[in-house]
Amino acid sequence: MVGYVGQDSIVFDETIDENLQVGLFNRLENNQIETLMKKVNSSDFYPNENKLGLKGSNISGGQRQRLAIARALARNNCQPKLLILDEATAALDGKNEEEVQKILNEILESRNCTLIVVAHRLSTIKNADYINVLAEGSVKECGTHDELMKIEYGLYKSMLNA
Amino acid sequence: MIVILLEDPSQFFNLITAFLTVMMSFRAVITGINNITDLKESLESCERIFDLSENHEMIRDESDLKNITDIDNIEFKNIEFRYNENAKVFNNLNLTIHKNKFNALVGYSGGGKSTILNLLLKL
Repeated sequence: MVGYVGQDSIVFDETIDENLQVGLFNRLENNQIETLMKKVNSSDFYPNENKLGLKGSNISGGQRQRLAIARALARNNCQPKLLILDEATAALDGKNEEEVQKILNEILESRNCTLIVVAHRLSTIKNADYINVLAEGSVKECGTHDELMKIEYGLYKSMLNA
Repeated sequence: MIVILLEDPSQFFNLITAFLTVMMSFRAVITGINNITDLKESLESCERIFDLSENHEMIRDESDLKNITDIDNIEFKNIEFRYNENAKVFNNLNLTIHKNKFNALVGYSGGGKSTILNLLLKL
């Protein structure tokens, strides 16, 4: 039901296929795995029959995040109802971040499921339908980017300018 | 001591040997301390695993799953939450996560973004 991608995803010392199957009641078909891996632009590290090494040390951080995204998308027979992205690109450097963000943006644009995105970089959530600004234990502002930018001395506006 | 050293040069080497022996035994102590921190970490991990297996609802196979076929809007209403007595994380939090929409949570670190997710995932 719920797919989750955190900052630094845990990958098991198994093959990529097995990493995608983790925790699923219905095992994925081969063609489903191929579709998922294609969706996350994985041609640089997939297909690959090798095990990923301790904590996924045989693939890069960006590749690990892309695998984690594929794993999140595999939930509920490849139809997750809720996708949570918790600063999924925060631990990545420039080029990797860009690449992962591009994939995330495609997923976000489709609006196929409920999306919750926690972001430190505000540029990545500019197109959100509802931006909730949290401070002092409650939601201080809520709205689209344009709406929040209209609030004079608003929190969102000040964060964007900071 | 210096007088002794001057009188008998062999004492000097004895002293160095003694000094090195003491240093080497310190090294063993330091390695020991490192091992203790490792052990402590392992114990904490064990504790967490036991905690999970004892206190949480177990899902063993599909029959244990509650039959949820869809997720509608998710609403947080007047949520108050604290990790301990002194530090209140949420004070009257109201938040709606809209179905099939792109919902963003922003705020400075410590603002409670991750706490919302943890509450949502029952962690």
